[in-house]
Amino acid sequence: MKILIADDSRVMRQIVVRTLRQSGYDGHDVVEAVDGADALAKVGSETPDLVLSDWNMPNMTGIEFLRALRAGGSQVPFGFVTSEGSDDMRDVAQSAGALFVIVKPFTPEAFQDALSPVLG
Amino acid sequence: MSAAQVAGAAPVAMDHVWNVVEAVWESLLGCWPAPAEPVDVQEDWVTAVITVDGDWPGVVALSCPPPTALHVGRAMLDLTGDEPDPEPDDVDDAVREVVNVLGGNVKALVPGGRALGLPALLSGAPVVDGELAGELFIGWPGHVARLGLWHTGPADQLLPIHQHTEQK
Repeated sequence: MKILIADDSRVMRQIVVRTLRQSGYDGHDVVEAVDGADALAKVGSETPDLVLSDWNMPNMTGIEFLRALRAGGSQVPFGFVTSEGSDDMRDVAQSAGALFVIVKPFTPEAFQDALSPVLG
Repeated sequence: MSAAQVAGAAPVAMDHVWNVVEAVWESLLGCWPAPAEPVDVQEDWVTAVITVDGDWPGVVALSCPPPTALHVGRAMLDLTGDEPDPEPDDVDDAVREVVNVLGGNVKALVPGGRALGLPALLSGAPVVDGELAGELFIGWPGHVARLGLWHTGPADQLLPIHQHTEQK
């Protein structure tokens, strides 16, 4: 399974990869994107099975990225990993087609809870 | 807790912000912080800032000495023992990301928080066009950092943070 991680922080992308491993989701192919625009292009070129995206990014935000995906017909499973987890943002994310919102700071258990319906 | 709160300025109790600090330190740095004695931010300290816009617009700033910034980078990249230090860009990225997570959680605590800016770095103490609403001094073995929270005007109506900001 291929997982696309979109975050403008390289350090945070590394932490997400490490947390995936700590939560038991080791051995998946990982593709990284530096912002929403890069991620949108890589969904097309890399055809990931799951997208984990930050919300607050330059060039194209995470929610803009998700809306562009859905507008273009992509139904790739999508979850946010973001520092902003208000109820309003969760509603916006869900309405746009996100499966879950993982709030930073997170734990491996939060990843397990969110990802088990998708990755098993 | 070494928390200072300016009367009437902050709509959020600083002990709630301290709870965020504990969660961030445990998750990102792998350690548990303790309140520290107040200390002046020095000219060579690294400061990461981020704006929170909404009904209570503000600025969140985290300042720490350069060795602590390096420690933050090493901890977030899980570098141990003899592993070489991270590149300076990664150290900057790590400190920005800490304030990004702190800012996102502060945005959720203040009333009507609608938008979070992108984190930026500057040297020394931030000079903010606003009222200092509260501050925390964060200690952990060998390190200290200062977290400040300012109430400002709307982010789209002013440049609230002076000095040479470097956009992320």
